[in-house]
Amino acid sequence: MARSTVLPVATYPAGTRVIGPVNIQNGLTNIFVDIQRCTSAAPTIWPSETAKLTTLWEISLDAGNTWGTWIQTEDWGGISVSPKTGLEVPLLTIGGPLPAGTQRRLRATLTLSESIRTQVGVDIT
Amino acid sequence: MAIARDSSSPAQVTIVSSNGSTQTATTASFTPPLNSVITVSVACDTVAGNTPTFTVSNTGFTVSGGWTTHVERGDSEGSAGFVAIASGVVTTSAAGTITGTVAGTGVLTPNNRGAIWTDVWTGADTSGTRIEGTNEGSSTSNNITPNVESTGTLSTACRCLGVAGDWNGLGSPTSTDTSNSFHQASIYSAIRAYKASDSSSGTTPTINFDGSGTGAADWNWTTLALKVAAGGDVSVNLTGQSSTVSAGTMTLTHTQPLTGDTGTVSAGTLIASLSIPIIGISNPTAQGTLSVVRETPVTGSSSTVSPGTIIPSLSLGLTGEQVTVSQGTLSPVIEIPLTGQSITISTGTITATGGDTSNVSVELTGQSVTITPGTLVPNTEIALGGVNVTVSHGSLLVSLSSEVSGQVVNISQGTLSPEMAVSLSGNTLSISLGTITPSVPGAATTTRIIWG
Repeated sequence: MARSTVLPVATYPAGTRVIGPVNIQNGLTNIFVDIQRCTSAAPTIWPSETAKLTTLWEISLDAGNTWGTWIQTEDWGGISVSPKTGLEVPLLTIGGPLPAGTQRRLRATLTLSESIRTQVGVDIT
Repeated sequence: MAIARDSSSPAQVTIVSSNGSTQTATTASFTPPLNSVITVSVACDTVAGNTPTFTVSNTGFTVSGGWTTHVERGDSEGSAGFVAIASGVVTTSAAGTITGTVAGTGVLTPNNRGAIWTDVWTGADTSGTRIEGTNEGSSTSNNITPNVESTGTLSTACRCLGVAGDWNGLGSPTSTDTSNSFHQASIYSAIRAYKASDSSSGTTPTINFDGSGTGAADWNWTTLALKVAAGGDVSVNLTGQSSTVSAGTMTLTHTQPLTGDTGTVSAGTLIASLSIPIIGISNPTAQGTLSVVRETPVTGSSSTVSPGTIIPSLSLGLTGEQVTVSQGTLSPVIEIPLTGQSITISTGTITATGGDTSNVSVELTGQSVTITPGTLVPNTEIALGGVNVTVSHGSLLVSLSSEVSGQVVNISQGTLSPEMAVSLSGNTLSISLGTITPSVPGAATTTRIIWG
C-alpha cells in the first residue's frame, strides 16, 4: 500500500467511522497519515473550532486476530497558525515507523463531535 | 520488585544556546544509589533541516560501560526539533553531575532552547538488555497518545516514559501521566512524562503528550520501556481493607504485617522463619508446608489455622468466639490454652516424647469443651470446667487423674489400666467403663468414686 485516500473530500456526519482493516505489505517500514485542516485557502474544510476529531490508529501483527494501539490523537477545527513561523497549518499529520511483521493490518476509528468536511490520506512506505 | 523513581533525581535543567550549533546543560550535584538506572531525556530546538546527535557524560559516580542513547528523533525522520532518551547503570555511588550535549542543531541564537530531565530509578533491570523496547514518531496533532513500544505488547513488567518536543512552541504541554514541561514563547515547548507505576507484562502502555491550547502542534516524540529487575527480596507491607500477597516461591525471611478487614497470605513454599501477625475480623492462613518454628497469634471473631504438617513445637494462643485447631500429625509437646465459647481440639495421634513419659496438659474452660484424641499415652492430666465437659479416649494407659465439675460430666473410656481416681461433682454425673484392669504385677486396683 503506498498513497491511499481512505476518505475523499466530503462532509462526514457526527459519530464514529471505521477505516479498514487494510493489509500492510511486507517490507514496508513507515506510515504517514494526513487529515486536511482549515486554511484561508480552503475555508470550507473543518472550519468549526468546536468540532473535535478523535482518532485511534491500531495495528495487528497476526492478520487481524488481535489489535494494539499505535497512536491516539485529539484535535479541534478552525485555522491554526504556528506561533513560531506565523504560517497556517494545512494538515493534521501523524507519522512514524511501523512494527515489523508479515501479517500486519491497519485500522482507524474516527470520532467526530460535529459534522466535519475533510479528507484523510494514508501513506505506507 | 517494583521500579521506583528515587528522590535523588536532580531537577530539570534548561538548555541555553550560546550562538552555536552545540548545546549543553548540566544538572545539579546528586548521589544516585548503587545499582540504580539513570535515564536522561532531552528535547531541544533545532534549525529546520538539522538532525543532531546526543551524548551524556557525568562526574563523581561510576556508570558501568558508559551511557547508551536508546532512541532519538530529529528533522531527518519527521519534524524540526530533536528528542532522545539515554540511560546508564550506577556501579559506584557517589555525588556527581550529568551533562547532556546536543551537537549539530544548526546555529541557535542565544535563548532558552530546550531541557534535559534526569530520572534515577531503583528496582530496574541493570543488564545490557534492560530496555524492553522503544518507539518514536512525529505529528501536528495537538494531543497525542502513542504506544510506548513499537511492537505493542510488553513481554515483561516495565516502567514507561517518553519525551516530546513541540517545534511550534504552543505553550507548556501537559500530560495525563506524571510530567514536567518546558516552554520558551515562540521558540520551543517540550515535556517529559512517565507512568506513575509499572506496566504489567501483556499490556499495551501508552504515554500522553498534550499540547497547550487547541492549535496544531509540531511534535517529535520518543518513548522507552525500562524493565523491572527480576527476583530479589520481597518485602510487603499491606494495610487497608483487603491485603493479598501471592508468591509461588519465597525464600529467606518473609515478614508480612497485615492489618485490616481481610488479610490473606498464600505461599506455595515457605523456607526459613515465617512470622505473621494477623489482626482483623477474618484471618485465614493456608500453607502447604511449614518448616522450623511457626508462631501464629490469632485474635478476632473467627480464627482458623490449618497446616498440613507441623514439626517441632507448636504454641497456639487462641481466644475468641470460636477457636478450631486441626492438625494431621503432632509430635513432641503440645500446649494449648484455650478459652472462649466453643473450643475443639481434634488430633489424629498424640505421641510422647522419648521414653515412656510425656505430658499432655490441656486446660479447657468454657461453655462446651470437647477432647477427642485417638490414643493418649503416658500421663494425661485434664482439668475440665464448665457447663458441658466430655472426655472420650479410645485407650487410656497409666494413670488418669480427672477433676471434672459442672452441670453435666461424662467420661467414656474403652479400656482403663492401673489406677484411676475420678473426682466428680455436679448435678448429673455419669461414668461408663468397659473394662477395669488391675495394675501389674497383680496388685488389686483401687477405683474410688467420690461423689460431691
